[in-house]
Amino acid sequence: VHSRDEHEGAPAPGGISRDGLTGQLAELESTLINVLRPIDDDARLMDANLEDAHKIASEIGSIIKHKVLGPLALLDPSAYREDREAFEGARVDEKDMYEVYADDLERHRKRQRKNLSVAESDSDKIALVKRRRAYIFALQTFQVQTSEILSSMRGGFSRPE
Amino acid sequence: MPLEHLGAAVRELNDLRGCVEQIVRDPRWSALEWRAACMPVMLRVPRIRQSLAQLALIRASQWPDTGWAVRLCAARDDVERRLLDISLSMSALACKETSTADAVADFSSDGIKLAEAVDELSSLIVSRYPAAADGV
Repeated sequence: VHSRDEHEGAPAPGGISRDGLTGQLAELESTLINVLRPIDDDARLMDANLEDAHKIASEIGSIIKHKVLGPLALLDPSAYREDREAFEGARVDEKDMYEVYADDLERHRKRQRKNLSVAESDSDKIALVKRRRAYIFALQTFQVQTSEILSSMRGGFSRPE
Repeated sequence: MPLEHLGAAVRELNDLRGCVEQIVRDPRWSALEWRAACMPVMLRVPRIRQSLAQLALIRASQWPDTGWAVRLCAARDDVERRLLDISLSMSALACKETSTADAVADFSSDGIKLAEAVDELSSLIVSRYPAAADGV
């Protein structure tokens, strides 16, 4: 079992210390977890919090992509290829699902003002529920991937070669 | 956000709920009567919108109690939508000479939903910041 090669002691890009960057990311991840907690009990809460949830995810995504896993970043990109790919996949999924869900939500709200038939209204609701579920799942996956990256930043795990 | 803003929001919300509940309990049948009955609600709408705009500053990404902020955003959003619904119902009632049973039923349904949404939002604020209820 080998510890991963990390750029120990190297300052993070942008003049922030490694601890500072880890702290900043941990705080954002903690906020994301706290956003997801009540939504786990009642998924409909996501509708009003979509923009904020996406904003937090975007901030996390940008920090990890550019300062943690990018070229010349905090973690050695070659040693963390799998993590980077998994994270990038989760980041892209979150963005795509956000786009589709936000569009559907807007359409649903506009159509609610019109006199829809019961069948149309039900069909709208079902479509929205599916989009919402898909987005929440993408956001949860994104949070798990963020947590993995944070563990690596803290040097908290190792992997057999 | 100062506590006074939360207190003011709670007062406005409770005031609106009282007005809406009173109209729902006592329906009218002519446009003139509806216009008169809905006037207290219409007069309160701009102030309520102002309070809702203040509450919109509470965001999950910035508020210290994230879980509460998530619930508050959803409750505020619900009140905004219900307010729009009841504004449309009120217009429908106030524009026609005589009210149809359907229009009255729509108004009552929207009124009840608005009162519930307002109660939820107000309770959520008071549950987290009991001092906001002082003076209500």
